[in-house]
Order: sequence, then C-alpha cells, then structure tokens
Amino acid sequence: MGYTFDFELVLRFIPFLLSGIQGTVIISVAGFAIALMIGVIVAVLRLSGNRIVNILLATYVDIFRSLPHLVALFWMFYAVPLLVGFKPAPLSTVSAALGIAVGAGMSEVIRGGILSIHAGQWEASLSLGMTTRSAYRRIILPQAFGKMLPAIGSLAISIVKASALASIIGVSELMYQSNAIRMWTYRRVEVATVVAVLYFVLTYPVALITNLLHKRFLHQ
Amino acid sequence: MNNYNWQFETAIKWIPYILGGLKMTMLVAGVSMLMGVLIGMIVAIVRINGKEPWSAILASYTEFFRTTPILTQLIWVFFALPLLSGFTPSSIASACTALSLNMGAFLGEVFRAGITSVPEGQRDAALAIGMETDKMYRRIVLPQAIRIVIPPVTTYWVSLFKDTSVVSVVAVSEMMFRARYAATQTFLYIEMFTIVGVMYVIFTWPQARLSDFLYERLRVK
Repeated sequence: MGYTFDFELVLRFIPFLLSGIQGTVIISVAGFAIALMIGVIVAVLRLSGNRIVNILLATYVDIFRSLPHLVALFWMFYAVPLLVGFKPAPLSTVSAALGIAVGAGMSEVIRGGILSIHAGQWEASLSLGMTTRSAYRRIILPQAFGKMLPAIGSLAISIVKASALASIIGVSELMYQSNAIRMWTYRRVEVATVVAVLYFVLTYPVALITNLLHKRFLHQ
Repeated sequence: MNNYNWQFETAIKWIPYILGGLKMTMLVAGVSMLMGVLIGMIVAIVRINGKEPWSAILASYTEFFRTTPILTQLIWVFFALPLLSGFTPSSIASACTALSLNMGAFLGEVFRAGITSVPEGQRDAALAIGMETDKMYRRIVLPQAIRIVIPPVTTYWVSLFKDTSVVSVVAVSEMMFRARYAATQTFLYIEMFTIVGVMYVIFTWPQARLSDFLYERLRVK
C-alpha cells in the first residue's frame, strides 16, 4: 500500500464542489416539495372512496414503487421533451422525476398516517360542522404529518441521496462536479471521500431536524 | 405532443439481450443481501453489547452509509478497494462490496430495533427462571425479534433489487447497463428505457406485494 493521500489538492477544489451543492439542494428541495404535494393529493384521493380513482392511483403507486429511481430518471429525461414539446431545464426534469418517483412512497406514508388517526377525530370535526376539506386541513393532516415525521424525513433524505443519480445523465450537481475534479486531479479516493462527507453534511441535519420535530410533536 | 417515430419493432429485438442482464441483477442483489445480513447482524450485536470503541465505530459506519448516496459509496469503493486490498477487484466485486456495506448499515438498524423491541419483561422472565444469557437470546429474544424483523428486511430486499441498477455505472452487465448499451447502439433511448422499466416493474412488483403480505401476516397484535 504505497499510496500517499493528498487531500490538500482536492480541498482546493472545494469552491467548485460547493457550486455543485447548489444543484443538489435545488433538486432535493424541489423534488421533496413535488413529492409532498403528490403524496397528500394521492393519499386523500385514494381515501375518498372513488373506486376508479383508487385503482388508477394505486397503479401509479405500484409502478413507481417497483421502478428504480435511475430508470425513472433516464426515462423522464428522454420522454419529457417529447411529451411537452420542448426541452425543459435538466434541473427541473430531474426534480420532477424524483418528485414523481418518491411521491408514490410519500402517498403511502401519508395514507398510513391518515388511516392511523382515531375515528373520533373525524366524528368530532364533522359534528362541529367542519367540511371534509377543513377537517383534513385543520385536524387530520397536521396529526398525520406529526405521526409520520420520521418516515417523511427518511424520504427527504432518500431524495437528497437519489439526486446524485442526476450526475449520470449529466446534470451539474455535487456528484457531477466531483466527477470532473476526479478527472482533473486523478485523486479518486480523496475526491470520493470529500464528496461522501459533503453528502453526510447535507443529509445528517435533515435527520436531526426530523427527530427534533417528532419529539416536539410527541410532547404536545 | 410532437410526432415521435416510435420504433418498438427494432427495440423489441433487444429484449432477450436486456433480459439476459437479470442473472447479473439477481447475483449482485443476492450476494449483497447475504453479506448485508451478516454485516447487519454483527453491527446489531456489537452495538447492543455497547463495548467501546467498537460500538461507536459501528455507529458512525451506520450513520455514514445511511446518509450518503449509494452512487457515492459505489464510486468510493470502486476506487478505494484497489488501494486498500493491493489488487484490482472486478467491477462486480466492487459493486457487491458497496451494496453489501450499504445494506449492512440499514439492516444493522433493523436488527437492533428488532432485538431491543422485545419487551424487557421477556428477558427478565427468562433470566428469572434460570436461563443463561445466550439461552435467553436463543430461545426467547431472537425468535420474537425475527418475527418483527422479517417484514422490514423484505422491504430492504426490494429496494436493493432496484438499487442494483446503479451498478451499471461501473459497467456491471446487469439489466440497466444492458438497456443503456442497447440505447446507445440504436439511439432508441425512450424505447429501451421503457422496456427495461417494464421489466423492473414485472420483477419487482410481485416482490413488493409479497413484502406487503408479510407485513400484514407477521404483525404482532
């Protein structure tokens, strides 16, 4: 093992890597927002009792739970320009792809959360004269979110991690920038280590914050 | 919607080639799962015993592999393994190593949670009737823990099966790699990725359903 590590050279490229983090953060935040939106809508619609809607949405959920993120990403990357007629910015395609892919899992989590809310909560809100809509918004969803925070948090982390796949289709984010640095410096292990640490720095706070919020919710 | 000239007739001819990658997908997933279970068990046992510094080291291993992308881990292993081992392992070995380490981190947490979720009273009762610690584990704690642990393990198997698509990056010839190769050969990107997508759904969906079934079936009421 006659290899001498040279982190100094790699660390000089940190500003360049940080510019990649921007892409990672954009993809993650946008993807998470899309996933959350899809998750709530799909969960509520599936519980609304319309059989056809339920079957259609269950198919969506099952397909994207069985499809690797990478395949969904590649497919959308080539199919979206055809479907919409123009080529959207790669960042938006990737965010949409990950949002739609993770939205399937998110809807299952939120649906589980809604189902776990005691029936008395529904009865109480409806008997107070709330509409189903405001019962969802004021009573049911806040509790469902609180209960499901750990699962939602781990889905958020999985989006950050999946955003690294965007490098494979050439979208400029953290992993992609690191590939460039690897080519320039040939310090492969050092670059890979630094990138891994940066991902850890990005995702670990998400885990800590969800834990904190969940604890606070449980204390209420 | 513009008029894209779908050429599934040409793409269909590549189906046997892409499907041929299933063997490699299964191999990588299978080996990584076995190794992951082994690593996970060791991690869980060491962390429950709490002997330092091992417990702390394995805790950081767990956190690190749970919070970084599989792709990053794969690239790291791919380049670090030759340095650490002194020889250049095949890309299949690198892929399996990376996925095993990844699985080990997640499964370690699953096993640990499974073992610690067996009620304290069960241990106390086992010790009170004169069982030794290892007998208590073997007869009382583990049988109950296994029941708790099986459903989440199947979930991780399903996601591992899907995650093997990432190893196409280091040129392991599994389904995704073959689809990408077919796409670059024919320029029929959407067709090839549709085909491989359908294949993944066909193979993964029954496994996901089985996993749901096990959740229902093994739930401790």
